[in-house]
Amino acid sequence: MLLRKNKIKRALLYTLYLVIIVILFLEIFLRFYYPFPRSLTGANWEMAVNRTFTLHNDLNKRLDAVIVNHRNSIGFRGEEPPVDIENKLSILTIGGSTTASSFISDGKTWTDLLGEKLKKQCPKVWINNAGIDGHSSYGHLNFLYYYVARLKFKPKVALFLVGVNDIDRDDLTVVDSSKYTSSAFSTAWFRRHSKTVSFLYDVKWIIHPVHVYNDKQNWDFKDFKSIHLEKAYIDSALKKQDVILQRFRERLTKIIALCRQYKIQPVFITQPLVTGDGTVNGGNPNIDLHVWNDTENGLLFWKKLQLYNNVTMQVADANKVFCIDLATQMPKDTLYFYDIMHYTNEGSAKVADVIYNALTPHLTKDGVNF
Amino acid sequence: MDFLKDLWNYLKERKKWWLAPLIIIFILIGVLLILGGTSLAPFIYTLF
Repeated sequence: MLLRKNKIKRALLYTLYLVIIVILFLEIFLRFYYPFPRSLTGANWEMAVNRTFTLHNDLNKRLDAVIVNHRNSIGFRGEEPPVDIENKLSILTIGGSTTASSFISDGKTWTDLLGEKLKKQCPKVWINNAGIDGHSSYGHLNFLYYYVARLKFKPKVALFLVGVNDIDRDDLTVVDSSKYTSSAFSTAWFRRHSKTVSFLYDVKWIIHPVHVYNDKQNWDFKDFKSIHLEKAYIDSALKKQDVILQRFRERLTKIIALCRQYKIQPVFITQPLVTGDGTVNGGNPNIDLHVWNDTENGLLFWKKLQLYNNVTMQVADANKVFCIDLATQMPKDTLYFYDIMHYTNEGSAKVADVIYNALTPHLTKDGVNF
Repeated sequence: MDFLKDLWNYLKERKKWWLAPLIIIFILIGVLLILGGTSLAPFIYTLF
């Protein structure tokens, strides 16, 4: 009996030794080499800098076969910030995956193309893409508060393409600025102090893009499942957005206040989808019926997004912020989208056109010397 | 795989269990380097 007890004790002690040594090693190693492009350790944002990522795409013929993403010295896509950045018309584009454009190569994203157009009129334009896959208005607020605020310079203009990642996010109910301190996170202490914990969080999310990349239904408009929804189901799904929309409204208002505090001029952009007009695309099944999120379809997703776009416009209007209604100006054509919301190379060019046409008169009116 | 099996047998027979963390650490280094080099690394969804 005593022998057995000793054996268990020794096994436990050995396991403890193993765990401590391995965690210690990971903590040290990850501080020198972090394998992912960014990490959020509590409130400490770290972006991959001066790195180039290359993706060999063999799934979607409508995207480039080789997709190159370069991150500059501040972790964004685009040119390095010049030494005389204060004399430049510095613009940041902030948003989720539709801004990050991870599946669009450098030089072809809507941010890059918008920059090219603006520079023809105003050579002193400097533009970078600060989009981060999956980011909602909560993420943008946190990003502004903890990353942009710590940059050596503040951009003069920030373009926010917002809405789609806030849909159904009833878990993002925090709006109080005090909540953006790291203590607001339930695992804050560990995430703030431990690279290992931060790493485990990132590993968890790696599963998601693998799913997105492999989900052929997301990528093919010719072959997908259709789903019809009852009106009562649609009404109920829209009604569920009420509370979330209120939080979204509060966060947008906070984004404006934070931008103004940093002397950044915010510009809001509403978010388009390929679905929502009931057209039968080129004889293919009606893409409005495209199954989305397993239990809903493209039309319902558009109806939800319209609610968020309306709030974006209302908040902009109430706070005298310029708002570009990309959602209504973007043609609902599968040429421009490789899935329900993300832009192809052609779509990126179209987005750049729409934003350029709206933004230029606004900046000129606002005293920018074109 | 054979190499790992040999290592395991070595630890078992010589009772050098204190060496196990070193082996785990070497494996982890390999995994981290592979993760860093993967083309999916920039496409992490934070859902934040």
